[in-house]
Amino acid sequence: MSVNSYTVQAVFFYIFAALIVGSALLVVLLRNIVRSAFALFFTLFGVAGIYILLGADFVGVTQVLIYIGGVLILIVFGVMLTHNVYSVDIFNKLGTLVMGTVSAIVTFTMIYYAIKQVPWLYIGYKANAPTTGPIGRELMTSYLLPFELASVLLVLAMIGAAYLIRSEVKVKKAAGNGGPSGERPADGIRKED
Amino acid sequence: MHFDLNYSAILPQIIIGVTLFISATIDAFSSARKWPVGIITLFGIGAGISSAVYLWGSNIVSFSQMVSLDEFSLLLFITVMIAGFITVLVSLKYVDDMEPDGGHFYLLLLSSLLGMMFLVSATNLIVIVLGLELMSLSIYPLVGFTRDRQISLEGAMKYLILGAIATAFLLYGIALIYSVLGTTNLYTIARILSTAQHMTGNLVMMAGVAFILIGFSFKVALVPFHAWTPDAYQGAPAPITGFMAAAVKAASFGAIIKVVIIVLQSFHVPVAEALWWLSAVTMFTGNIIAVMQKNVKRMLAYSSIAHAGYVVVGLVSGTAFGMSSAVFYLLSYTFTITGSFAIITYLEKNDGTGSELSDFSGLAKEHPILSLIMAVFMLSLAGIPPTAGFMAKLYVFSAAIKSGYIGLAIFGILTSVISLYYYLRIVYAMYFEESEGRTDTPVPAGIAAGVFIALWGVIQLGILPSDIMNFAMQSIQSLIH
Repeated sequence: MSVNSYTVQAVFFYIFAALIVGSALLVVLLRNIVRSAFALFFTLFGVAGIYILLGADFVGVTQVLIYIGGVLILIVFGVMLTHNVYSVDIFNKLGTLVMGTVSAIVTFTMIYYAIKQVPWLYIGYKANAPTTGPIGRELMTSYLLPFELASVLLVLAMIGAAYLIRSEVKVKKAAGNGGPSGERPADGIRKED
Repeated sequence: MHFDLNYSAILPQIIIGVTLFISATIDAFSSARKWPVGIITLFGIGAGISSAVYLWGSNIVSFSQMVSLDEFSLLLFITVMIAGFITVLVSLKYVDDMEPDGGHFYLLLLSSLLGMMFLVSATNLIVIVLGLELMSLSIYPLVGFTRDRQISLEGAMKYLILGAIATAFLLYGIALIYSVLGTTNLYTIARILSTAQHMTGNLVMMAGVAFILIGFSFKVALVPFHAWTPDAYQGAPAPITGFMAAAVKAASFGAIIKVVIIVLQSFHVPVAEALWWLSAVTMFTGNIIAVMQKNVKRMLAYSSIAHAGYVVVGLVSGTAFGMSSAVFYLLSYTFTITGSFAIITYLEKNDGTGSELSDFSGLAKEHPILSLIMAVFMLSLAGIPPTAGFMAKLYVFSAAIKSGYIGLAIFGILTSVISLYYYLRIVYAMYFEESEGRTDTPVPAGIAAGVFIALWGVIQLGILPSDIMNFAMQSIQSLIH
């Protein structure tokens, strides 16, 4: 359509992009895990904004419902209910910080050049149509098998998690603490727990 | 609208799924001892294997080209189900000893089988991811099954985190490929790539392929991506370690072979070169570090890394014969490693010890037959005739030589000479070292049965390999058609 809508779209894109990158940096760099969790809110929110900007209304709403409404709340609750979590200093060591920065820059450069090099098909500006209906139809027809498989996957993930966290049935074998974790094999792989 | 539901395309999966349902029901209504659940599971897997044998020769693509039932997927179904069958046999007593009310062992094993079967029969990248995740998410709790062992939970945790990173790589690679081609269907991708020459040198495609390769390399533990393997393999209950080494590896390699054959033959990226390096480094590192191990489970973990390298040698050659030899290798390794871990399961004590090298000392005096069979398994892992391992290595290396990768073949043979040292050390310990006095328990019937099935496979594939190799050739042909 008009140049105007491009400009508006671009402005919103950069606002959301800055929000995502800035808050994601805070998630990594903040020393307090509760603050990191709250910074994550803005990251996930920014991603939802990008989705909606791209016309993916269903994915955007799902992002808000599941990631902000579900996952993030769970994380915050998990953090708050964990004993003594406030006093833990989770700031990364300088070595890992340098390594992380270097690998992030290298990955970014690689992907940047890859995306720059490819002649993308330009489909122009399209008015956004609602996507929920078509997605639902596709899930029930062409993507029926992956849809059902995903539901099996979720059930099994729940079963596995439930069994791992259920309370001990018996308190036998208190002494049998398995392999002594302090004894490290001579392969130099296990550096830390 | 193209919409087809042919349920016979997922018949073996349906059988495993129904077994999962029945086992879960029986698990809920049974007492604390769970061997009946295991028996039902055995029958279900047996029925699954029978259905796969019965369906041999069919070629059905269904569910809107999401899955295909061809000889390739059927052969890998049979491979992973044999691994599952032996694992359940071996675990019948083990599960009840380790964990009261441990029926979820069988349920998770079945669901991971289900994931593997969707993984190898998928013709769509989405189904590949879902199958891979179903497999992995079922395996993580199984690694941590013995919850009172710290080392077990540590292994499960490391596997979970690195497995999640692997999936992230895989998904990102798929997203990149989708962004260029607009499809996740393997056949459509292959068609676009074979017609559109300008795709050659497309960096986003290349990055996508590289990310997918990295994701799979994590799953099959090729060397730069193997860090989780020793801890997870050592920490996991012994039967599960065998299952992981056999079935998880076979299923993941099945997906790799499928993607390479269908998609990458028409896309000219230096995949063979990348695989060349991965396999050389993997064979070398796995075997060298295995030499230094004192714990047999950990030793076999590094050995399994090295074996993944040998399978990749078959992939590097790129020919139908090379791919078939890789499939043959997976089948032979399945028999050998599940058998070895069946014996380790017998030796493993309730507190998780009993798998040190010294625990094998003098085993031959007390259990002459078991020791002899263990020696056969070790010779098969090392690649000594007349065992399955020898034929597998022979096929893989001759495929590499035929395709001109003579250097890689020679390097592989050299590394397997190194491996001879640590495999024979177990044999030496069993026959020539003095026992430190072990409490002698009879070998449980389940373990004995599992060991004999594995032994039969090792001998059968070692002496009469050509029949099985023909099946492997047919399976690869069914992908090329």
